[in-house]
Amino acid sequence: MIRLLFIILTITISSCAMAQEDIQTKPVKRLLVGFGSANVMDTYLSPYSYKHKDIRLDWMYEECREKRFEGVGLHFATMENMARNVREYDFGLYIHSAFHLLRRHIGRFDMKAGPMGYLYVGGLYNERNGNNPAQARLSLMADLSAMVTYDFSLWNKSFQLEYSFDIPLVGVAYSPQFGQSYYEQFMLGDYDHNCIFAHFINTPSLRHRLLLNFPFFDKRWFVGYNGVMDQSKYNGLRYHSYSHSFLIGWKL
Amino acid sequence: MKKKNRNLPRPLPRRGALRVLFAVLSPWGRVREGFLFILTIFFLTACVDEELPTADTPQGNLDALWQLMDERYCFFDYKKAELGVDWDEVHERYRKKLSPKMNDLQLFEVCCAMIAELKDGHVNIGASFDLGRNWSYWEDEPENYYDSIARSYLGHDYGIAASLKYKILDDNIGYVRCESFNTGLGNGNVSSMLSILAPCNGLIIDVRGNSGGSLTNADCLASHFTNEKILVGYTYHKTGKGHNDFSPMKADYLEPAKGTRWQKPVVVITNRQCFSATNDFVKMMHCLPNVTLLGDKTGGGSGMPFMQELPCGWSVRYSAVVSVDRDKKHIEFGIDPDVKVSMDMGDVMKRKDTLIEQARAILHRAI
Repeated sequence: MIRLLFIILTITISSCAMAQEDIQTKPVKRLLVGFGSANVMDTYLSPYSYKHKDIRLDWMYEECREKRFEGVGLHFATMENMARNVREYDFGLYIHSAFHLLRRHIGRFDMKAGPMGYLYVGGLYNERNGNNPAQARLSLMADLSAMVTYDFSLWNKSFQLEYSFDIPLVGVAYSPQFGQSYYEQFMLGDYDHNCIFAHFINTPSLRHRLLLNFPFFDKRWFVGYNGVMDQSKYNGLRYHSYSHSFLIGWKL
Repeated sequence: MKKKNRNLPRPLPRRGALRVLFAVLSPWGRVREGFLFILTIFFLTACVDEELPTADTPQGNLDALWQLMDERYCFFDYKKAELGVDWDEVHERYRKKLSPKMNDLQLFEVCCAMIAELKDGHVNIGASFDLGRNWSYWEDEPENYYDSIARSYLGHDYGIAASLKYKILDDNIGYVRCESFNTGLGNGNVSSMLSILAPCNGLIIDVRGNSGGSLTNADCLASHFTNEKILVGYTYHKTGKGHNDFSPMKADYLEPAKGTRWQKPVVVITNRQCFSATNDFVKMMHCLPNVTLLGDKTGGGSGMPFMQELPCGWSVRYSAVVSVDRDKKHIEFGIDPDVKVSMDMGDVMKRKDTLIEQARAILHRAI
């Protein structure tokens, strides 16, 4: 496990370090906010999805360079169970850094792909449960990241359509054991496979986004769609967080 | 026959968008194949969704309750050995009691009767109109406690340290009443109280009627009665859906508190209502050399409860983590006292608490 952690850290740090070569190019800095729907299930807290009276809010700050794509984001979501008598709160912070070492430029298409280091810290709180009221989420993954942009003009103005996605490939994640309490872990110091070797089979996740970049007054604006399909199944526990959000942002 | 050369560029499709896509992907060879492989695996393993019945019908809710317990409850083998509970047979028996048109109250009654088979105070169904439970472990037993009589020992000038009430009795015995482990209890509270009670020749800790609370509070109180780290039991939890899918036993130790520690004889008074965290407190105190347990057997409840829910929104509480004593024996049905004492009605008429009086006598003999 330590060796695996070392490999992932190497990939993550090297993707950041390699990206330093790209530091000379002027970055496109942008701020995006989003709102949309949420559908979350964590069988440590409940066997059912919470997807009613739901809302998800996102905040993202990103820097795009020729080869480097970095960002930090926050999200918060709240939703109710199917009987609509209990509410859950989902929140998280993520930091990612991608190095797009493969690049093809054909006509107006620009396609980039490469490794991405993705750190996620978050939690899910259920307002009713007693000894299992919340679930902590912590993961460090090496992802596959890809981005396609298409430049075009309309009414003598330049537009850009951007589609990007990332898929977690391999990493480490935290998870309690199937019936393990947080009291055992943190008061009695009981470790039971809580550090998981995560990969794209037990963590089949996808995050993707479509953005339109357009000029409006003196600024460049972004509107689009952000889709998150985070899933995991380890230690006998199943988790998913699906969200579809409308994004709006501007260049800084 | 011509051998295919992977390095030769393939002819590009004529159409514009596809032409561009192929042109972009084709020189990447292995990268493209790896990408397609990952996507294939992704879609094969995708969709992590619910596994329990989701139908909010009498059948759906009962099946969900049964399956949830079947996969997560931690005492099936023990309950089978002690009570003869066959969980599959229970399912069949209670399914026959369902009808599609039954209302919520009727369904609640059937579900509660089903979980009552387990005779576990930690197994509950919570609805807005009722709490499904089996509390026969204390409801069918003598209480051995009269609140007004016990309060007469405290009088009006007793001390309060967080959830603990205490008093020095006339014969220089300290009396501590611990009604619950629900409210916060810190080392400072216990240390200050024990410092005040330090001149006493012995100490009575009365936990009758204490149905539990936080294990941390129980640990905190017990840690003031030992000078060394001692083994008090073992804990283990479910690791999968099988009835016997358990983690290895993990030893639980009681570590001495940093504040004031009691060095003189102690009597812990118990009754059948001592449950859950209080049962754990009694388990820890039972391991100490200068402690005597007096009263009735505790109520048990050695499983730490988790909560889940049914499609109709009712909560389901169940034992998920097992705690056993230092001999690895179950204490789910309680801990026997060293000295069994019941309330004497003659004493009650004289407004005397038989158990407290017996505890005082034991402490005087031990001095």
